[in-house]
Amino acid sequence: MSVTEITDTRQYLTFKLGDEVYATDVSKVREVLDFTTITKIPRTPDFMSGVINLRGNVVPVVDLRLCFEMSKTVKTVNTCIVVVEMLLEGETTVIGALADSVEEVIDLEPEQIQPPPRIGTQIRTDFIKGMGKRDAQFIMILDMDRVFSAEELSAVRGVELIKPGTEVHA
Amino acid sequence: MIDKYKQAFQEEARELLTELESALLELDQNRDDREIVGRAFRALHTIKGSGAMFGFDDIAGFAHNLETAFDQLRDGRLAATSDLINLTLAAGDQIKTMLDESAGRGAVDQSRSASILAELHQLTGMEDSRRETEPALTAEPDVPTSGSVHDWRIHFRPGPNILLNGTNPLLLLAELRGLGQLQITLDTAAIPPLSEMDAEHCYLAWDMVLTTAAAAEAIRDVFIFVEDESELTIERVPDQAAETQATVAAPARQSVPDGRGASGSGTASSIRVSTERLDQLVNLVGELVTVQARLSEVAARRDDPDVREISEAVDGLTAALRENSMSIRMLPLKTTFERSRRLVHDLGIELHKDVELTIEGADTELDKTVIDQLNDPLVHIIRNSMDHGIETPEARRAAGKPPTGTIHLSARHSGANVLIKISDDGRGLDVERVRTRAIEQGLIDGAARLSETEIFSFILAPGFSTAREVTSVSGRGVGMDVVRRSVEGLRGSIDIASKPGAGLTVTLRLPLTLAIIDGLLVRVGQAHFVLPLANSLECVELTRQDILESNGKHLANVRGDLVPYIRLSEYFQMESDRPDTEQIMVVETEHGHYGFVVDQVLGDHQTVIKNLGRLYRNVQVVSGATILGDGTVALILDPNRVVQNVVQNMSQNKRSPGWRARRSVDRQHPN
Repeated sequence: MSVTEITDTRQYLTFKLGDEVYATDVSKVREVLDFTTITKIPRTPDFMSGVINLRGNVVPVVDLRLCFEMSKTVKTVNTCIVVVEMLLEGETTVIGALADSVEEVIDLEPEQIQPPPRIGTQIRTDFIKGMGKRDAQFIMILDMDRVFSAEELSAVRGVELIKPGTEVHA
Repeated sequence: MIDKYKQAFQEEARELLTELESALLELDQNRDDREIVGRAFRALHTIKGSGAMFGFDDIAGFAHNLETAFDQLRDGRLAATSDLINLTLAAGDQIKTMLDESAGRGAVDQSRSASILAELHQLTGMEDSRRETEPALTAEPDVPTSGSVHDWRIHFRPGPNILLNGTNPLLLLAELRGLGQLQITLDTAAIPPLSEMDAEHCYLAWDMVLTTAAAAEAIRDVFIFVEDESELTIERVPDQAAETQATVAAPARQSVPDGRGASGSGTASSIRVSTERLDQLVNLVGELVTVQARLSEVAARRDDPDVREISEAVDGLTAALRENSMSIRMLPLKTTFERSRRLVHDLGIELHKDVELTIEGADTELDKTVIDQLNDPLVHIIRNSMDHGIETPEARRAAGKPPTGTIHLSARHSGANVLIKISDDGRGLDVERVRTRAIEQGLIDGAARLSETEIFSFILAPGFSTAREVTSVSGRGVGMDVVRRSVEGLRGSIDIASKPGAGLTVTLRLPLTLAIIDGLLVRVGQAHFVLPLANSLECVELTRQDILESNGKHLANVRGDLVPYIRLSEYFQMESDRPDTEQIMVVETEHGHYGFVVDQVLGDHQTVIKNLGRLYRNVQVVSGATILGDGTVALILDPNRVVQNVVQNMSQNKRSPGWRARRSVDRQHPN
């Protein structure tokens, strides 16, 4: 059985978070960057790593591992920033996602992709578009729009950006 | 090619309509001012003339009728009644829809044009002075006469490209003939051999003698659209005897060798540039500023006097270029404010309220992007004031106020911000009602103790404002969340103050520009921040000794004044080694003078503001980011918001029963 949304052969960029292989539709990916200095915005949730300078533009970076309830990304020589472009509430938005390493670009036929399992994955199943099967390996194809969707970000909004009780005397 | 000119006409006509509108509204105040009538007349005349020239015959015909009425007004044959003014305003709107239609947007209701014209004829008591069959530019009814008949010698050599922009010189000559008896001599001297001739060029010139009673201005008006690119002299032929003296002065005044001059007086020399090009320019300057920052950084590291000298020169130039390109984008608020005049006028009629709009500080300049987005919030606020704030004349009399209500619009600079105030003298807001409603809607709990300002801020909350009950009782709030959203989109803030019975004041605080500001670069731990230079007052040292002596109080003594300070590293919960001597930047905020303690002040920095994007739009204390010379990103702090935030946090800690409510306030209305 194939996934209804995926009807033609597409290319996917695969990357690793920990030992797990993930993939995203290559058409969403603008570029892959080496890890660079990230400026943290004070008093924002941990998974919002901060902002980077992408050729003169300020681009926000998100720690995918923290989004998926793994431990915080630790910088290695392989750490990359996958820059994806997506529609967010009708506006084209560029977001960088931290990945432990970027693997390759692969072709997947629709029949190689299965619907996501209800249980048994480490991350929320609604973030997964399908399970790609290559050789003996399963690749989780992420629904990036969903990961960064309005609802998910509203969860961010719900986070109290300002923690009460900060020590301030005036 | 032609399309380009049509578009230019579109733009020009829209500006003229604005001018017409403001003239009409002023005329409404001073019914007898001939000067204003003249302004309206000229606007109509130009719309008619260029409309006909570019093939907008319907607009030209329509404007012609209005022009005729204003000509009568100019001659005193017709009085400026409010009927006429309102009708002309409506007619102006109709021309606007005609323009929209020709630009492919919307359709014109022809019956409306007809009814406006019919009413106009009723008012002026004349027939439609233009019949369908008449060519566009004959039968000038508006020829100012100079009294007696004179001969004029006219030399007209149109520019070579005149045919390309759609001008037909023959029409000009025909129009001239309309003024009186005309003798024309064609000058063909400039025509080249056939092999060198460009069919699109105009090589002809005309020498004419015109016998007319019309004044020089009327003759010049014929050439008004081609004057700039043509060689044109108009001089009076000396009459046989008596007038020899007068003619000495006349030709000197009336000949226009450079094609500008007399008719150009009053119009500042300017060119029309599309906003996209300006945006491009500002973007490029922004990039230049960033590169320049890198250059200075490298120069400082190299310690090579030659490189440093060049870097400093480039620095100066960049700053000048930046200032210049920013100032190009600055526009006075006048147009936006004048537009409100129309709104007040129309709403006054609709709501049967007598309201006077007073304007102050219309010359205050703001970035075009800000101005463009300011219109909607202003309309909403004024509409609210007119609809709910200001009472009917009867109610006002009963309350012991003058029957005419007043709305006051004012603008002034305050540091890197512009404050726009909209105040009315209407019935104001009832604090208790708003509060009750907020409790009903579950925005606060009954025990919360809030200041008036905080309570008023509820009317800016989305769900709150549209609630009909509130509108009918307290009479406020429709669309105020729209106002809040647009103002916050501009990184501005809103403040509401009111006294029941005495009116309401809404203050919008907007940044001067959204592109580049002067900033002060500071370091806290490893992170760099930029404080807006316009708000920064001075820098004082904070030593360990000072801290010990102040017994834990965060107060600095700046030449006898006590200035409370905020340690940014503490506030941002950053780990940093406290240096022996820290710096306090004293900053002027809405809440008074506050100090920001930083590890080091690095100096001034031309800051290209970059948006943080949607992901971070709820971050209040950081208003944007900028890119430093080494390519890293520094955050721009909003001192007002930081102080506000700290003060709120403190009061949360002090008043624990109320802090839950206050948090919901924060979310509804982050100010």
